[in-house]
Amino acid sequence: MKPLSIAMTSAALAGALAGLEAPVCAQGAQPAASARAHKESPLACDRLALSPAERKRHFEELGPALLARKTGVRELTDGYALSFPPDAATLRMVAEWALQERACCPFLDIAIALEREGGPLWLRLTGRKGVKEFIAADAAAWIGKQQGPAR
Amino acid sequence: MTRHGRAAASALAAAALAASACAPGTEGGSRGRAAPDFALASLGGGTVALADLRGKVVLLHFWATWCAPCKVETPRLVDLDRRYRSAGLAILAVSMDDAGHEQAAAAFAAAHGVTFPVLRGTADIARAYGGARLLPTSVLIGRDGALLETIAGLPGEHELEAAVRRALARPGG
Repeated sequence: MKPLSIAMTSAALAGALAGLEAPVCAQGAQPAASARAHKESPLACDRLALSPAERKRHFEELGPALLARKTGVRELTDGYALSFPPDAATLRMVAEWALQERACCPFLDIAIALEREGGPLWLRLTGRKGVKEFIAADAAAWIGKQQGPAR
Repeated sequence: MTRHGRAAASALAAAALAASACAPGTEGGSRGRAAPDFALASLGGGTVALADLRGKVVLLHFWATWCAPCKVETPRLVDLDRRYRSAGLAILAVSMDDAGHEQAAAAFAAAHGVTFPVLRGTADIARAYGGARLLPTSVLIGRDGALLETIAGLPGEHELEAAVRRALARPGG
């Protein structure tokens, strides 16, 4: 059996941030794939997507905190999957980070998954051709350690 | 051209760039207009003014240390500088990092072996060049000071070099 896969919309992620009470699960769903089928953002960061305070939170607080909590990484054909402890606090942090990241980098596919039977929390970062290269350039510290179960 | 004339041309150029800056690989509708002048502080000391570079092809590169695509592009710029500086290319990196991150920008440049000036970006220059909302954004300016091309986002591996070669080969500037 496949692990439970959770695809979160922005609203659901916001709910998750508010207290994990929103109905965030949609098994096997892809977030609004048809609506964005023909939209392709450039491989660029939106400088105005985050305020300086939000940027500080993203890069200087959440990023290092999540890096410290990372338990594994898997290389995928089109990106990387990072694993974390599946506790609520970490899920909130991952969700907050993901919301900020998608605002800044709309070309990224970001998926958050909780494996069944108490398995790890996965943050999957993928995208079209070229995205994996930039993830590797940006997150060498995040992906330098190859471990975790095959998925 | 009078000062007012230049200001008007710059404003038109900025407006045209603003309209085109969000598309990847865009050639701005402002092509041929005078590039807005600027004088920016260099992280290495001193000030660099666009007017001082007349006669060179200027590659104005907006970036930030936190911008992942910029990290991919920086080594390509270093390579372009090494190969085309003697042909008349002048690369200017404009750091759009938040205030207080100048040291981080300088450290980034040093770590990547950056050999061209790194300037401290301002809201004014961003506005003048269409907002520079997307990072990286590269603006090519001809030897005569005319705006040639704007590429918003990470270009294909050889796209920027092709644009530089076109600019260097452009007749009359």
